[in-house]
Amino acid sequence: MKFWSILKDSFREAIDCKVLYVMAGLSFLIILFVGSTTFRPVSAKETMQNLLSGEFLFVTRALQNDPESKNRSAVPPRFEGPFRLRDVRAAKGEMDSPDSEYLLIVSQDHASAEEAGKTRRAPELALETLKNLFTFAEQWKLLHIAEIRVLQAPPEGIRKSNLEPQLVFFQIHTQPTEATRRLWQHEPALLFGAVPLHVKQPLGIMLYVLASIVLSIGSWVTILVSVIITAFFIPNMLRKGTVDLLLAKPISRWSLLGYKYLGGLFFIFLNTAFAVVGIWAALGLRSGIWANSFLLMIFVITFFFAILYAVSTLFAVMTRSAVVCILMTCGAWFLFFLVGTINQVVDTQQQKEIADEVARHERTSEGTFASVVKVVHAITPRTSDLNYLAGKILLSDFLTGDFASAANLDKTSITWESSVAVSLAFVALMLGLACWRFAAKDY
Amino acid sequence: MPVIETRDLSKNYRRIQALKDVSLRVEKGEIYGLLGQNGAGKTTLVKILLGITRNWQGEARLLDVTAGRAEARRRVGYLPEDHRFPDYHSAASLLEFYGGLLGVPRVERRRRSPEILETVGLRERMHYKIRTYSKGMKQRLGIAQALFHDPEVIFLDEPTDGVDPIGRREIRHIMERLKEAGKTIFLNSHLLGEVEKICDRVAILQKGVMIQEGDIATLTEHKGTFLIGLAAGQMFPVEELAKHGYQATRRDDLWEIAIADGQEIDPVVDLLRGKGLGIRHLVEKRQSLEDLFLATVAPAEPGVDRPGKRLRDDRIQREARSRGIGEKP
Ligand SMILES: Nc1ncnc2c1ncn2[C@@H]1O[C@H](COP(=O)(O)OP(=O)(O)O)[C@@H](O)[C@H]1O
Ligand SMILES: [Mg+2]
Repeated sequence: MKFWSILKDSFREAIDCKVLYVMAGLSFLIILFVGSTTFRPVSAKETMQNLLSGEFLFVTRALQNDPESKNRSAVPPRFEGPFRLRDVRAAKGEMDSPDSEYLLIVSQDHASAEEAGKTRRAPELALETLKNLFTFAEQWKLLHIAEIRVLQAPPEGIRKSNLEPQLVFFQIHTQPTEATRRLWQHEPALLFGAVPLHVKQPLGIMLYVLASIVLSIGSWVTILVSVIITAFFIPNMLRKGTVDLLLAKPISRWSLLGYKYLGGLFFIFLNTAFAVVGIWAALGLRSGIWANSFLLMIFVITFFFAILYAVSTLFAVMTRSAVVCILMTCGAWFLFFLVGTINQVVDTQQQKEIADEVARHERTSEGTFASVVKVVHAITPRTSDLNYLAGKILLSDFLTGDFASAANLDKTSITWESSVAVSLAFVALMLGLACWRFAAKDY
Repeated sequence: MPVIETRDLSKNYRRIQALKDVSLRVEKGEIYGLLGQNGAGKTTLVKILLGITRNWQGEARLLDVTAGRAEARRRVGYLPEDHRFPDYHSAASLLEFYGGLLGVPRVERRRRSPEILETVGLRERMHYKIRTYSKGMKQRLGIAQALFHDPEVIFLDEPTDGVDPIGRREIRHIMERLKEAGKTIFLNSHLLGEVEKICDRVAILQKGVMIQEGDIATLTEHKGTFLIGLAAGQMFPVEELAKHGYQATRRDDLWEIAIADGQEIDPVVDLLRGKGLGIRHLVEKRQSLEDLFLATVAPAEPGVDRPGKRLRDDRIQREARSRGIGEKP
């Protein structure tokens, strides 16, 4: 009950400073902006051509770098030679929609009409070859191949000039997978189609870029504003004449400060949840891709803020000055950023040197400077690492619909477990110091 | 079992000694007044009892628990001096908030909040933000929040500070009602007239030391001075009394007689009656609390919390008195 009382009080305080409305308004504008972005799929034929030729392999290979993929083809087949994609027709659903099932019409060129006739009668060998061509797409789950069969007569709607007797036609029935829509090329336009952007990119990549831009700017602004607003909460509570009233209540000082801290977090949690869910829904409605890992950002941003707010709380108790809190928190923020960034550079360098088998004593990533960076990084909260890890998850989710594969995106020693653990330890340390100081102080 | 008890309670703020070996007891149902100039340590004492100030020496118990423990505070109401309520609250929401912290059940809070605000005359404005309240309204809200959870002990630190005379009388009435209900009230004040009217017992603090303690009646009793009044038109036999060794001086319509040690007033009465004079008035003279206070407390230099050098200049001293000792210059 006491917790709820303080939570409600914090909420009232947050609402009282009108900034909350401004932030909600800004979030709403961002959501509206995201929601006004439209994506038009390019033609099915063009996309199929791309999918089959391994255009997006750079993405998928990185993402699906798991042990199982050792059994998969490493290099896509060149979709050329005697086989050519002649036509794409919708088998089920609308034409040019990523969610439809398609019939691909592929022709095989023969030296003569007789040989073509032979293949029509006994197509096993051709079917086998063709199947191999599609194994690639299927193994990487770009498409699901339902059926491949030879057509005894040329299908309708093929141009006259293509109806040469030495051509044998095959029909491949495809069904979409999780990844199909994500890798399907789209053309984006802003503001409900008013500003077309004239690019063709896989939908997932565009969503990822859009989400990243909006998120990084949005979370930066949100956190900055929140740092400023919340910096006043605890100093206000500790003002003479106000703190007396609270301390005279039957609640321990530890809980009082702890609840107040959680109250501040709750405030930004609500804020973030509103913005993130809004953006996620806008993206989902517009693109049909519901990247659920995006919702994880609510917790990542809140956690990020929790680290900074712990710093703010400590200084609030020590100085009771909101200005000092803001300055110190922003200072800490910058410091964490700096340490994280430098460490990432060093870390990447080290991974590279290990891969290149550079001799130990020649590695620049193991010198004095690098060691100092690593030690400092080991004990500072991992705000940058959290951002980096969350970005990886987002990318893999937007591209394959599978965020578990994010771990395979690249090789660094940065992990969730250590980042969260060290950051939590830091938060606990800051809060512990703050409580200890608060509990002993005379008011 | 005393409600409040301190024994040799001392508190230092770095180099300032705010309390020095203060021992007091407050019984259930009493109104106890703590007097003293600004900076005498009254607030410090209350804050120690409530656990707002820590690290003290000696013994301090509140409701039979060592001072500072959270459980005793559940049964305690507190109106701090210079209180500042979070002004984003309204009176109603503030009581809701504090009620929650005090562990008052939700239903109870809903019921009691308009009731108590009615008592202090804030009901109509209970949903307005506190920042729109006048000083007097804030003070009344302060009293409402101190009484909200029906506490057994109520600490009031300068409750009538900045309240107009009518408001002061209302506050006094509230205190009287609380006393009738068997509550214990601990009142810090430098407004002596007020304390005299309401308190059962008082203590006077000076520079952190308790220099007087006792019943109001006992303290203000002026042993050995009587006021006598005769029926209209009768002459007071001053010279005759002087022969018997009693010194009478005129005080308006009455005569004041100071009695030396070993003497009684009865012979005077016999003498007057013997002469056939009609006695209409006979009381043992009391000194006001203010007289007592001024007599016991070293005068402060104007503008200084702590009494400094003795005031040499009689003129300044008189000035200080006319202002009322302890009041902010
Ligand atoms: N938090 C504090 N830090 C340092 N000195 C204090 C503090 N609170 C009170 N004092 C000092 O202790 C003395 C007693 O103060 P206080 O208890 O407020 O007196 P009163 O309530 O009788 O006016 C004063 O000299 C005051 O300056
Ligand atoms: Mg005081």
